[in-house]
Amino acid sequence: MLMRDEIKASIEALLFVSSERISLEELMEILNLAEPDLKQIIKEMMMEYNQSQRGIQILTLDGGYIMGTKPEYAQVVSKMVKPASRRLSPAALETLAIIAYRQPLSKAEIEQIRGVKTDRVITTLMEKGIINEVGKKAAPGKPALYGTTHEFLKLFALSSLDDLPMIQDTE
Amino acid sequence: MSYLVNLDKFYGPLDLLLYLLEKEEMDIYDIPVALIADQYMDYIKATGQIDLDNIGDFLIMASYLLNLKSRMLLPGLTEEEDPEEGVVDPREELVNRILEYKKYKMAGEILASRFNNDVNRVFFRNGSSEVEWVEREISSSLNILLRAWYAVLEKNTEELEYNLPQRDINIGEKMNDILRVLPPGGGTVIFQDFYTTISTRREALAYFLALLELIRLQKVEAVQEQRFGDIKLCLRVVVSDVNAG
Repeated sequence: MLMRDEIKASIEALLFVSSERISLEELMEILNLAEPDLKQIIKEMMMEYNQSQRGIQILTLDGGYIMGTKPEYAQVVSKMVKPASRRLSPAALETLAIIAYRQPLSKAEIEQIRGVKTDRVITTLMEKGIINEVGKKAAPGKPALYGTTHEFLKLFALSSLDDLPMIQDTE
Repeated sequence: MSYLVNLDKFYGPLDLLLYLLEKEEMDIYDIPVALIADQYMDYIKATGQIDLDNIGDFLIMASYLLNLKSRMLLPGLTEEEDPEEGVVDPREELVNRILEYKKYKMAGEILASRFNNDVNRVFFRNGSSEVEWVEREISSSLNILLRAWYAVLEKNTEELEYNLPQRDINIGEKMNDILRVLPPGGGTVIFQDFYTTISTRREALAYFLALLELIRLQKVEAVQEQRFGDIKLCLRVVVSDVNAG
């Protein structure tokens, strides 16, 4: 059995190596720990990262964990990492909003809301890995249903879909 | 006549309608249909040439608005339709659509403000696995595969001089031939080697179609490390196994 500090070091190493989100289940299996213990340890780690002078932090992402930089150091990092390809057209953002709040839904349903053809925007969002096909609708023609990905949560700095800003129904 | 903005500025007919409503400060629950339909038509006419690709959706809305306008002029008809619920406002559907659209347009703007907020941005490590995968996979460039096929044709196949009726070549059989040769442990076989034993174009074609079909069914992975080089085939490993390792 590993010491508590060793467990923390292991988690740190795992999170460092993985560029993608690591699920809680995966960590439980690798470290052979029960869920409450693991959650408690990671919670402690998050606090430690936040309290000390560190450039990185541990973030929750859709029930898993991932390492990211602290927002305070965004300016320094962006001097090295060019955020050039990070532009989405208003049409793409509008479509993305519909998918984010209403997922899963089909292209026809998106177009019903927007009132315009949306093929090209969907292709772009798929290529960027922000949305993907999450299933087929049980309707004639079995149209694809779209949903957002972990990449979406990362891009918009959201921990989960529950974190989406509230939108009012009517005014 | 006021200045008209180009239609390109709007992301769709609902966007334009919303703009008109807000510009004139109209009550969305009591839309003056005749007025808005006229203004809407002004915009459509102002675009000049009709490019069906871009303007099609706008025209659908235009005909809907004109239909609505004429229905509003005939109040008697709508009253008879639904006597118990009172009068159903024919504009209700339009109002709901505009409100629904407005909701997501605003949501998009909220998302945009988060997205474009470079000051407080959180950076993540770049995944390296993705790039690697793209370079290895052949399915993205059918052209290279086709070129290999032409090379095979040049090398090998003379048309038979006497075309005797022969047993038809079955692509399913060729698929099985390819699968049989592939070692189960993930070892590779060179695709071009299949062509050393064949004599007719038909058979060469059958092998090629069989290969494409196997790639399509994701049973086989084809890798070509350099252009015009050998195409190496191996049985495809189930993706989840790779991730677990």
